[in-house]
Amino acid sequence: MNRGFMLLEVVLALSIFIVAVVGLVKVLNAGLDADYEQRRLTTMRLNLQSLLDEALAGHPAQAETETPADGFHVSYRRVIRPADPQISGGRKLRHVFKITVTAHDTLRENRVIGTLWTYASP
Amino acid sequence: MVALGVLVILVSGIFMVVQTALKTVLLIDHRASREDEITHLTDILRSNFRNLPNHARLTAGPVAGGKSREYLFVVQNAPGFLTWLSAPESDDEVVLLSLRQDSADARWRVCLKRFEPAASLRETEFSAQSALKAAAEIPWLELVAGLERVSVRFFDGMGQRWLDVWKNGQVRPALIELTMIYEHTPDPRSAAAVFWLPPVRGGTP
Repeated sequence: MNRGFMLLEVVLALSIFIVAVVGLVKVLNAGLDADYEQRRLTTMRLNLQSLLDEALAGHPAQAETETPADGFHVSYRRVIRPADPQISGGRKLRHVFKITVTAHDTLRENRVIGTLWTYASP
Repeated sequence: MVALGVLVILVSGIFMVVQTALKTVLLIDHRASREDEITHLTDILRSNFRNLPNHARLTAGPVAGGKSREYLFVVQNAPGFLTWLSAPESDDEVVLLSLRQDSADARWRVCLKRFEPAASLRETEFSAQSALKAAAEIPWLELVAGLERVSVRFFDGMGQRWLDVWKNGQVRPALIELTMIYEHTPDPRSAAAVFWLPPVRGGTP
């Protein structure tokens, strides 16, 4: 009878231990995932700003460039198009380009996960 | 006896798991704050380079000599450059932004100092050496420390090429590229940022 109880106690203790370990491992994994995601977003933000700044340093002209996916499975696309935005009085500003940089998640059907844009003139 | 043995094994197992969990949480926290530091530094530099006054003069590049390596930015006639908390005392202030390798542990730091040159030197265009000499007594303000590696390049908009040094203070580089490796092992972490400097109006881009 006593041996039966002892076995039951050991099994019970082991089960509690396994549940605790599984819980902790899940929490750790969530933490590591959050760390990866933060690093990915930080890198994406830096890259978007850098691509926008590179476009501003050149003479804007209609163009479309793509940067292949990096280690975080994020690819970038930069589109420069004539914008000619309308100003007061219905007039349009000439020779103004809109530079748009988008980040795409290549693991999720190239879904757009970040965008930056600005106007520029040559 | 068996139950006691099992209890000891379980307790040590739980202790190890909790210890690993705590170490990982601390590592994640440390990495997050490092990333914040780097992001804030690049944000500050981006906005300051973008808003550099038209009459500001900028020279930059590696400093020759010494045991450790250093990149120095000398910025003149830019009273608001890298200024926060209080307004600059004078328009003639010279700002030195240094990315320097510590000779003790070979790690890099980003530091800042500003000084007001003597009246006779106000029109002088300071070189890296002369600016360092003139500000020798002023302590550095550390912005970021403990970087593994740092590199800087300058894009010449006229020549369409990247340069390691920017000597001509009258003309500006179109872009400045700053690469920082801030954690080397086990998983290298780096940040590469490109900053745009608007061309001088009425000058050469």
